[in-house]
Amino acid sequence: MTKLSKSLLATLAAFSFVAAACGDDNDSSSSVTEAPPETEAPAEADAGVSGTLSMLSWDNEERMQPLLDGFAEMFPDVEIEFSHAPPVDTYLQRLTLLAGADDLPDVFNVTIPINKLAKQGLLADLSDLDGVQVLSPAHSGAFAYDGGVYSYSPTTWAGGIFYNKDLFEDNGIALPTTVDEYVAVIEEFNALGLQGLALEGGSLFDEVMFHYNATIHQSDPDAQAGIYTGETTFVETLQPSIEWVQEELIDSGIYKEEFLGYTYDDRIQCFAVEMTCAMLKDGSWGYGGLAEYEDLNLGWTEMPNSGSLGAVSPGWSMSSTPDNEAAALAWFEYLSSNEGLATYQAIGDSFMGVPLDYEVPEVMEPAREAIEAGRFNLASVFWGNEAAITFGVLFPGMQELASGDTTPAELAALLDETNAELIPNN
Amino acid sequence: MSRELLRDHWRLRVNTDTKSRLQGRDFGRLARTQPPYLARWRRNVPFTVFILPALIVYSIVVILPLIQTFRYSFTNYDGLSPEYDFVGLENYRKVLSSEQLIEPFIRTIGFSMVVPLLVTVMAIPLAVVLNGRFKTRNFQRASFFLPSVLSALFLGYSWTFILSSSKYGMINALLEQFGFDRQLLLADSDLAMWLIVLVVVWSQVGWHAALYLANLQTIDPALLEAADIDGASAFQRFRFITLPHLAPAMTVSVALLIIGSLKVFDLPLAMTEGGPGRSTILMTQSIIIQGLSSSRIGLASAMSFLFFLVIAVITFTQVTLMSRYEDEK
Repeated sequence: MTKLSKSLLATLAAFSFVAAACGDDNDSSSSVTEAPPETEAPAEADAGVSGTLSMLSWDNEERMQPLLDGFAEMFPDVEIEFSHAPPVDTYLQRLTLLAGADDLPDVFNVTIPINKLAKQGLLADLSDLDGVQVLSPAHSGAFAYDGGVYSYSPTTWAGGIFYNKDLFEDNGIALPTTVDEYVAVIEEFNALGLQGLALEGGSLFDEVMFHYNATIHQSDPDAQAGIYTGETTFVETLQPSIEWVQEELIDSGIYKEEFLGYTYDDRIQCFAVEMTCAMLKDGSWGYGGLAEYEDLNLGWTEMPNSGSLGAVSPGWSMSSTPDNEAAALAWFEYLSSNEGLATYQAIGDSFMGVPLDYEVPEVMEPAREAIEAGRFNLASVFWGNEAAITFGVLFPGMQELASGDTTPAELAALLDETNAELIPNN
Repeated sequence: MSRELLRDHWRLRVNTDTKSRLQGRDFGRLARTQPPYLARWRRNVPFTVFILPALIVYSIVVILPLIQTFRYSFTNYDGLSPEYDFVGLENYRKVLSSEQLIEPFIRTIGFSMVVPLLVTVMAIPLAVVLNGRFKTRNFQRASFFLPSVLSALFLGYSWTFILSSSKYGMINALLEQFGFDRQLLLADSDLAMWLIVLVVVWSQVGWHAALYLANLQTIDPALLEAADIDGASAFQRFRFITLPHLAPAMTVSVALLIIGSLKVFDLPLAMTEGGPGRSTILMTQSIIIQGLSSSRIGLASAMSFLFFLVIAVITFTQVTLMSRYEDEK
């Protein structure tokens, strides 16, 4: 499964609230960095906060260490009981288990549909926190439920195309700006004995979502709004994109069956090590790893005809019954401080949804522009509550297309068949 | 009187004398002064006290969850909401009527038949060979045993590299080196499951060979020697002396293999994550997907309970049949 796929799954639910909160994507994340910083470092307010803070993170300890160190400096008397589960499935499984056993840690990442946890009263309402009040409407709206805000996420991730500038320039090929050009560019590179797009086992899921995003979602952003209420179907809304994948990518030979066995590492090998792949689709977090390949003349561009795939990043929530509420609130106080935000931004190469001066690498400036201009969306936002079930059918189904074990019509019908049992829940 | 008869005679005498003494000193006195059921109860008290801690722990971690799982299997519980409805046999109907849910079930049962068969067929001859006298015997024993010590995830990821369909995969790199075309290997939905079987068998053979080896070493060399003097062939010695002595080990080994294969999760997950498509999803993974990833605890509970019944029936049948085989031998 690609990292992009995992993030799509993890954040689509959270992002599903953006539309409701903000009207549409275009104004959802505007003026992210215009205002001057308003949050103050709360070093003076930490007196008396002590004890143990239990924490479940989907980032591992090594990645979280700068944040943990910063927090320890600000609140030296608080000891963090850190635990980690890797994203996405394992994390969600662990969180579900802990929630079901009423044993949630004090603070934890939230990715699953926020309203399920909030509805059960498992999350604390954070809307009164200073840090939450300065979030952009997109970021606070992403985790809003029944008038409250139940998670703090100051960052946004962007998904786009990393490309090898030298390969494009040396072969006189222009970056694609439409879906047709996108396929043509891949074919041009393939014809040259190179590989237009670095692909792996989960790539077809990314491709179907890309096509849906670039076509149907562009003409009708609400096309799937009624997918779980029976007003529309996957056959009507998603089948055309599945057919596009079948015809343009599989039947044309761009996606070969052998790619089903490829991993993310294989893609990196092709794109960054051997530099025979011209393009690589990935999230903004992929930049850090790619930047280490000094010979790679790296560029980043938006998805053709659809801006950037992206969403508000998974946020931090507090249990409604924390063992150490003061320490949990201190965690949010630190996160929303200038120092905490700067560290938060740096560890994820993210784009901020709060007023903060920060820099991104030159390569990622187009991603920042796209995010700040609101040119990002996630077409599958309407899957919300049932995202995991739909994902569980679509992801393997796209692989079965490549191995010839199903057809676009059969897959779309299977999605609708699975969906039929979900409609009564929505 | 032959030596064997003499030995049996003395064993019988010793046993009889010991039993008589015990009866005379303890149980016989109890039997005279107390009702038989009370005597039996008093006799069982120490055993019960010893078993009690284990029984309590076992009940808490196994029996109670099993009962809870059975209860949830008749509900639409999602793992979070304290409110859920009784749905009768709906979850069982879904499991048995959905192709997506029944496929991993059938695949797992097939897997649990093939793996024990292949491991047993390979482990017994391997144990016989490793029981021989040769210089590198200890090294070879350690080599075959090693894969069973390593983490299944480590093995899975290692084999993913070896069996990758990309040109960076070890086997494909070798094939290309010798002028052959690359193969799909783990990307082939028809082949992937067999490759997982291959890796599981490879990782298990050494451990089960060690089990058989331990039993082989209990065979009295005089028996083999006598058979040799009587002109028995190597195959006859194996068939009529070695194999019957391995029967108890075989019962344990096959039972462990069947249960392990039915419950296998980590190694296939590390190798294919259930793909390509759904071609290598096994039952435990399917239960986790439905229960935790998709928040359908009720449905997953029905799958778990059906699966528990299958494991119980298969294991009970296997142990009964093989124990009967042991008795016959």
